[in-house]
Amino acid sequence: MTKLSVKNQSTNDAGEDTGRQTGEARYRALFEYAPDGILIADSQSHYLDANPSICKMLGYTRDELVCMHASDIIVQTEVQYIQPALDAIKADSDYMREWQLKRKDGSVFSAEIIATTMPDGNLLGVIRDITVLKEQQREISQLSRLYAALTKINRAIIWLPTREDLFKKVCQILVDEGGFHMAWIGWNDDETNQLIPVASWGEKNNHLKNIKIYSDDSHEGLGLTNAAFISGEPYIFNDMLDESITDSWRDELVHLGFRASAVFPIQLKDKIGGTLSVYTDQAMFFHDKEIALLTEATGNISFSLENLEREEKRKEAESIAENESLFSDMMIESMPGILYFYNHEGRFLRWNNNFQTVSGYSNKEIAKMHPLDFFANEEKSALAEKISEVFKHGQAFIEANLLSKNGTKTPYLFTGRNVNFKGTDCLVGMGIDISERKNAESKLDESEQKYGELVESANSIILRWNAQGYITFLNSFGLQFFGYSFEEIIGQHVIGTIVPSTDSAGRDLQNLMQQICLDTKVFEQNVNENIRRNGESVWISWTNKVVLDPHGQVLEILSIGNDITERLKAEKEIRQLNATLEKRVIERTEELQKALVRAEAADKIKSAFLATMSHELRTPLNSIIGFTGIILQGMAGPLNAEQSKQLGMVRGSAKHLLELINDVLDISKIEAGQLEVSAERFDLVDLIDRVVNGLRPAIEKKGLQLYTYISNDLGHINSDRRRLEQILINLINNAIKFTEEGSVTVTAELLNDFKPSFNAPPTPFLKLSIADTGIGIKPEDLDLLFQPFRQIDSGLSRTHDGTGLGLAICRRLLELMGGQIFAVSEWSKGSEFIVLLPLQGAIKS
Amino acid sequence: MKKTILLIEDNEQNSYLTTFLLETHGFNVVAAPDGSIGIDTAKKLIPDLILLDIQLPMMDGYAVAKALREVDSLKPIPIIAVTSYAMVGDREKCLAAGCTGYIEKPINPETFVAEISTYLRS
Repeated sequence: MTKLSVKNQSTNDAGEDTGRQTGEARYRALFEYAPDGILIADSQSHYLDANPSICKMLGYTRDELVCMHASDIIVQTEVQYIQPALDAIKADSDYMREWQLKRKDGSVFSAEIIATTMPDGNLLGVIRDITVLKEQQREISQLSRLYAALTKINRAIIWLPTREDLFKKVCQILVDEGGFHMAWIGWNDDETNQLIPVASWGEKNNHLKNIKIYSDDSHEGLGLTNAAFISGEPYIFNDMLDESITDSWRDELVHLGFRASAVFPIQLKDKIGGTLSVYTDQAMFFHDKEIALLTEATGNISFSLENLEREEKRKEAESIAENESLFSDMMIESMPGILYFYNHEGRFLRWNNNFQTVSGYSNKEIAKMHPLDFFANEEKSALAEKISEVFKHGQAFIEANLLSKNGTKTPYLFTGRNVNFKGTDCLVGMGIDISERKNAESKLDESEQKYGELVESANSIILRWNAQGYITFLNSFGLQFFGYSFEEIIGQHVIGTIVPSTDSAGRDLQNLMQQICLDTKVFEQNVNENIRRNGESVWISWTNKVVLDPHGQVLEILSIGNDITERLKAEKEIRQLNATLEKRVIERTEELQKALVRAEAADKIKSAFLATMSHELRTPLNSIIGFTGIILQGMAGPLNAEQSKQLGMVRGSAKHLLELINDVLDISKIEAGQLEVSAERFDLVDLIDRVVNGLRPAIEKKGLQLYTYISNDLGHINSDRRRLEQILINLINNAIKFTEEGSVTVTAELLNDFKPSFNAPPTPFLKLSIADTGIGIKPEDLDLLFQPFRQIDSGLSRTHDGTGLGLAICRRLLELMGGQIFAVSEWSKGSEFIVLLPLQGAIKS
Repeated sequence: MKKTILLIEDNEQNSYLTTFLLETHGFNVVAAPDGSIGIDTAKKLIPDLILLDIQLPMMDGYAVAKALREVDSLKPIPIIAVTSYAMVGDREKCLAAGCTGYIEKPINPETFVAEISTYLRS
């Protein structure tokens, strides 16, 4: 539409006069040949016309441009400024701005556009390409920044004391001032041949941690850094997108936004010490001037490094010298002895502090003294001789007493050595205090003397004899003991003097002496017979110690002997006594054995006696009870009332007698350990019912109530049925016996988890309780209750029948059956006897 | 018909007592004063029940019981030991020797016959 309207307009114009046409032709020429680009647009910035310059600039034909709008040639990011620009032109008729224009091929360039409103209301834009101008401006600004950086680096070089500080500062300056994205310095490690990043600066310096850069050519994929290090020349990489360069981390650098980098070797004296690398986001950043500036910076760094190194070496040398001096001083002063240095004339040049301390002279005094001044007159000549020996032969030593200022003399060992100091012969000497050694030596003498005395005054025989058997020493005690004088015995053979050739038992002692020499270990302790000069035989216990020569040959035997003749005699007597004693012990043992057999036999007799008693006593009772029963029943004919009464008494007495016999037999058997219990399985309820029913008549006769409570879970028990019956009868009988009115209550229940003792496992138990409302038991009597023959008495004569054995028997029986019995009672209120019995008969026999 | 009971008992009084008691209650009682006579009598008589004292002269009750049990014709006959031993294991010894029952002396004249009768019935 727009294009059409323009054409229409120009068609209209063609009909105008030629004068105007001539003027227009001139303008047209101007339009066509102007070096600046010219665009004509309508008020809404649709292009109406374009001159060749702008076509060339943008790469479009005129026809193409005439169809376009300003937004088609202005980069996307600046389209937003078009409308404000149009508004400004409308208001002010002129507007100038720098735009980023987009060529047909997509490339972008900077252009300055002056736009103005023409009289016809269309817009005229004059466009000038300012790329070159911008580039120059950028380069100037870049260089000035680099200059500033170089200046700062030079300043840092002057101020910073260490290499590390300097490197870090250089990197920082290059980034902060020089405008680089990142800078780092790698330093060569001789051992690993790696360039270690020793300093870096820049937001993206983290990736340095992950890389390894080798300083030799032994590794593949070498980069700029490596190349620069090896060659010693700067390496420039002006466009990382250029694929011809195979830097192994190029991809990463591109990713980080780096477009160009440069690496400069850092010279350290005659070799390359490290590299300085810089990165920028601008491709083609490094040109000759930039490279020259950075090369100068690295040169300055090298220079400063040399200075730093020189300084370090100087400091190190200073410190070594200082240490050395301190060390030698310390050595001299901490020496245990005295140390001195004097020249040929005897003038002291140097000595340690200890020399002052020991001699008592001050340094000033020593400086004026002669070496011989430190010795007493009588030792001076010997000392002078030794000193001249040092100067003559090089060295000498002497033991002498150092004379101190206060007159004390201390034994010293002096050693001297001749040294040449600055062309003159000098003596360097050392003295060591040997008073300790001297003391020890004198003590040794003393000690030797003491040992001598000890040997002589010892109450033991001390004998030394050689391997051939000849006596070399015998102490006073030994001489006296054997009856010889020192002169008589020394040099004599042991055999024939103090040792008989055979002892009284016939042992060959001559042979024994040879064995002692051969096998010293075995004969370290030896007892043998010896002989006195008067022929008396004695027994001596010897301790033999062999003295060997350096070749292991027996040199001498040291024997220490003690007379044990008396002891042996005593021992012999004891042995005889012992033998007698042993015999007696055997005899006694035999007697005891016999007694034991007798006792066992007696036991059997007792057992048989009990059985017989049981039988013999019961047999007549059988007749008595039996016949009285028969007669009382009227089987032998009718009885009158009196006869019945009296016969009843007979039967009562007979039954009581039987009871007594039974109880006495029971307790006797228990005491003799002959009562045994057995175990069988039986029904508890049955047993209790039977016992209770058997005793019911007696209860009813006394007018008492009988209650039985048997718990439902009560079943069978494994125990001694007859004994349990006996116990139950006994306890219920007792209850009846001691209760005048009220009741007797029998309770039976199951204790499922009863612990018969503190540590025992829980076991099922039967609990039987027989309670009455009778006279009860006094607390003090409770303890006596279960002892034999203790019928608790109410104080009067026996009012109750019984043997007094019942409860004792019950307790013993229950113990045998693994059970327990105990009583609780309140005097005059009643008693309760409780029986506990294991369901699974833990029966002892 | 009267039941015949053989009583082997050496004590005269006791023998008389038992005999009297049982006869009074309608039994036929044959008494033997020692074991060997008892065995012989038992073989001839084949009684309905044997009452056997344990402490007998010469041959004790256990031996007698064993001997009786060896006789085929006597095997079903109940043998009741009547003893005054009353020592541990007596009862077991009696039963082991072949006795059927065990009654302790002294006997109770009021219950004795009833006790005997239970063995006779079975």
